[in-house]
Amino acid sequence: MGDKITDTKEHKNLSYDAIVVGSGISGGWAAKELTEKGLKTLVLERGRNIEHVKDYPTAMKNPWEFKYRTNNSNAALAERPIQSSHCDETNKHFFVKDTEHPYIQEKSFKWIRGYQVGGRSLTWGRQCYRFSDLDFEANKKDGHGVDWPIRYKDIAPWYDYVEEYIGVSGQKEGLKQLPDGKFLPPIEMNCIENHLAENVNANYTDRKVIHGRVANLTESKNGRSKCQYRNLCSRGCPYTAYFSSNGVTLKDAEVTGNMTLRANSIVKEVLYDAKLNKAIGVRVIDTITKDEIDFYARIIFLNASTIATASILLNSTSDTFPDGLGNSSQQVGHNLMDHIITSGTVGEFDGYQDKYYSGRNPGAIYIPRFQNLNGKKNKNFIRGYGLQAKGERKGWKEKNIKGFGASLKEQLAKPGKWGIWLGGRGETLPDFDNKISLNKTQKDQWGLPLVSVHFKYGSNELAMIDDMQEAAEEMLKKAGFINVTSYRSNPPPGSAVHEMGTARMGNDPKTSVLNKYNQMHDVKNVFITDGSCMSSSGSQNPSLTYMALTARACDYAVKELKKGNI
Amino acid sequence: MKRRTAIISMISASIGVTAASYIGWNYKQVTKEVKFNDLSNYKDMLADLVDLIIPETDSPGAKEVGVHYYVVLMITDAKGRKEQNNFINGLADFRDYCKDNYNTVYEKCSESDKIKVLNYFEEQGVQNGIMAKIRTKIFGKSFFRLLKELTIEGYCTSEVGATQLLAYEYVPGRYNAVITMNKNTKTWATK
Ligand SMILES: Cc1cc2nc3c(=O)[nH]c(=O)nc-3n(C[C@H](O)[C@H](O)[C@H](O)COP(=O)(O)OP(=O)(O)OC[C@H]3O[C@@H](n4cnc5c(N)ncnc54)[C@H](O)[C@@H]3O)c2cc1C
Ligand code: SF4
Repeated sequence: MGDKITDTKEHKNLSYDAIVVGSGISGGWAAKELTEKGLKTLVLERGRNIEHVKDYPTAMKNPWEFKYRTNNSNAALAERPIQSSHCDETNKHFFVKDTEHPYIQEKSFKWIRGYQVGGRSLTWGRQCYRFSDLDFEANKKDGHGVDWPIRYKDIAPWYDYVEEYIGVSGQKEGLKQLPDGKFLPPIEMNCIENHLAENVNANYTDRKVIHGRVANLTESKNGRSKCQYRNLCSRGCPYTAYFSSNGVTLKDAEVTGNMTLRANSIVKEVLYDAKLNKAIGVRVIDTITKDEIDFYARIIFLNASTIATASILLNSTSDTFPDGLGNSSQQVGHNLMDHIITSGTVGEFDGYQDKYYSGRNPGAIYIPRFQNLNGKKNKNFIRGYGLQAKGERKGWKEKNIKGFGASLKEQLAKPGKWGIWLGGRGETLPDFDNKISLNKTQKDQWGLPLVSVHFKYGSNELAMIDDMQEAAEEMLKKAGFINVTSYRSNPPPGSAVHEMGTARMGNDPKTSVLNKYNQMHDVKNVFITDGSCMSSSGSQNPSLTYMALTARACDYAVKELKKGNI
Repeated sequence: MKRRTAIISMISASIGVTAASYIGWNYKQVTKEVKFNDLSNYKDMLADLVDLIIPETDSPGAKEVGVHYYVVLMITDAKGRKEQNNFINGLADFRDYCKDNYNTVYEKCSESDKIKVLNYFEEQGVQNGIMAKIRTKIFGKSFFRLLKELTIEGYCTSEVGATQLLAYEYVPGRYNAVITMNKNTKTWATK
C-alpha cells in the first residue's frame, strides 16, 4: 500500500490514499491511524497552521504581560460576540472571529469553534469519560432516536487503546454507568473536594464524588513531560502535558512520512462518481489564493466537527444525492444535540482555615450520573446528567472586602473561605427538529451558503436542569456548606460545546447515515467519526468517544481497502 | 449626584408601576455618548484614589505601580457604555461631594476627609438584595464598585502585586493538593 496509488498521471500530487478533512481531535486521530497503517494521507484544514509550541504565543506569559490583564476588551468582544463567553485575552486567537465566520441562529445557539490546525484540541477542557451500555442501549429502551449499532464491548478495546496513547489521569471506581479505563494516577483532591466526596459518599448510596478523568499527564509518557500544574492549558502546552492534535497525534502522523498537511484549505464539497458509486475526492477552496482545487483519494474521512461536516455533506449535491451526499435517509443535519448545562451552584465552607494547596490544578472532580439507574425512575425526566465540580479558597478576585487602605491589602493577601462550584451536564434527546441546514441566499466570504442552526431544548432537558440545581444544592447543604446558591442564568444551547448527532450511526440505512463502523450507508468509502456520528448524547463529555470510534473506523477502513471492498 | 440618587430611589420605590418612564430617563443618561476627554481632567485625582485604596505598606502602593493607568485603560477599552458613563459621572459626583461637604476641592481635603468620602461612596454603593441586582443589571456597576474592582485587579495582576503582596509561581511543577499553612502563607496570585 502507499506510494503507488498516488501517482496516476492525471492526478499527480493531487491524489492520495486517504483524505482527512479537519485536524481537530478526531481528524488528528484519523491522520495518525491512517498514516501509521501506511496510507499516504492528505489532511485538509480550513484554518491556519499552528505549529506545536512555536505558535502558542501566550503560553508562557505572566498576567501583567497582557494589556487587559487577561480580560476581553471591547474590540475583542466586537470581533467575537459569540465566542467571547468561552475565551479571553489569553486564548482568543484559538477561537474564530464571529465577524469573519457568520452563521444563522434561528434560535439562540452558540457555535463555538477553533479554525486552525489542531481545531479545538488546543482549547478543550480535557475531561474524558467513557460511555457505557446504559448510553448505548438508551435509544432502544425508551424509543428516542435510533438504536446505536454498537454496544460497549465493541468500543471498549478502542477506549483502552486511546486512553493508553493520549494519557488520561483518573481512578478506577467500578461504576457500571461510567466504565473504568486505563488511567495514570489521578490528580489528588484538595481539602474541600475531599470533604465533599466524603460527605456525599456517606450521605447517599446512589452517588459518588470521583476524581475527574482528564487528559493531563500526571506522569511523563512517550517523551511528553508530565503536567507542570500551571492551569493555562487553553493557551497550548509547551510541555505537551495535555493531549492535543498538534502536540501528539499530528506529530506521530508526521513522523511516518505519510502525511501531507494542507492548512488554509476549506473543503467545500465531496466529489461523487455515480458510476463507481464512490466518493472520488474533495473540492477545496484555498483561503489564501481563493483557487478551487480538487484532491482525490480512495477513502475519505470527514472530521470537520459535527456542524461543519453536516454542512459539507449538504453542500455536496449530485443527481444521485440531490439533498446532499449520503442523505437518502434525510437525516443529515438533523438530530443535533448538545449537553444541557447550568451555570452552576456554589457554596462556601467555614473550616479548614489552615489548609491550602500549592500548584494550580488543571482538572476537576466529577459526580457521575446517578438518576434513572438501577431500576430507580425519576418521575420528571428520562436519562440523566453528571456534575462537574471544583473547590478552591477564595482569592483576591472573589473576596468582597469592605474598606480600603492597609487593611484591605492585608485582607487581599490572605486566602479567603473555601468555596465549591458544581455544574451539571445533562443528556439531550435526539430530536429530528433540532437541525442545521444551509441557507440558500446568504453566503460567506467564499461564496459558501451560511449554516443555519435551529435548536430548542425539549421538556425532558428542561426538567433535568431544575433537578441538577436542586440536587447540587441539597448535596452541598447536607455536606455543611453555607450560602449555597445557584446562578439562574441558563446558558444557551451550544454552550457545553458538545454538539453532536447530525449524521447519526444506526443499523437501518433508511433512518441513519452511518453504519456500525462509521461508514456511510450510501457511499462506502466515506467515513465520519467526529461528533456528527453520535446516535445519542449521553451525559459524558464526548471527545474520548469520538477518538475511540475514529481509531476503530480507521482499522476497519484500512482492512476493507486491503480486501478490495472499497 | 443628588439628583441621580434621588431618581434611583424613586425607581426603587415605584418599580413595576411607573418605573419604566424613570428608567427611560435615567437610561438615557447612562447610554449617552461617553465623554472620554473628561477622564484626563481626573488623572491626578485617580492616581490619588487608587493609592488610597491600595497604599504603600511593605509593598509599593497602587500609584507607584501605575494602577490608575490600568483603570483608565479598562474604562476606555473594556467596559460598556453604561459603566463608562457611570465612571465618568461618578468622578464628577465625587468631586462635587467634596466641595459640598468639605468646602474644598478634593485635592485639598485632608487624608482623613478623603477616607470619609471614600467610605461614604462605598456605603452608597453597598448593593444587596434583588433591587440592587436589578439596578446593576439595568445601569451597570456603580462608579465606586468599578473603581475599587479595577484597582484591586490592576494591582493584583501587576508584577509587584502578584509577587510582593501575593504569592506567584510561574511554573509550579507539582500539585500538592493539601498543604498546611503558616502565618506567612499568602493567597496565590493566579488560579
Ligand atoms: C472550551 C472548551 C472546552 C471543552 N471541554 C471538553 C472536555 O472537557 N471534554 C470533551 O470531551 N470535550 C470538550 N470540548 C469539546 C471538544 O473540543 C470537541 O468535542 C472536539 O474538539 C471535537 O473534535 P472534532 O474533531 O469533531 O472537531 P474540532 O476539534 O473542532 O476540529 C474540527 C477541525 O475541522 C476544521 N474544519 C471545519 N470545517 C472545515 C472544512 N470545511 N474544511 C476543512 N477543515 C474544516 C476546523 O477548522 C477544525 O480544525 C470542549 C470544547 C471547548 C471549546
Ligand atoms: S497545566 Fe499542565 S497540561 Fe496544562 S498547560 Fe500547564 S503544564 Fe501543560
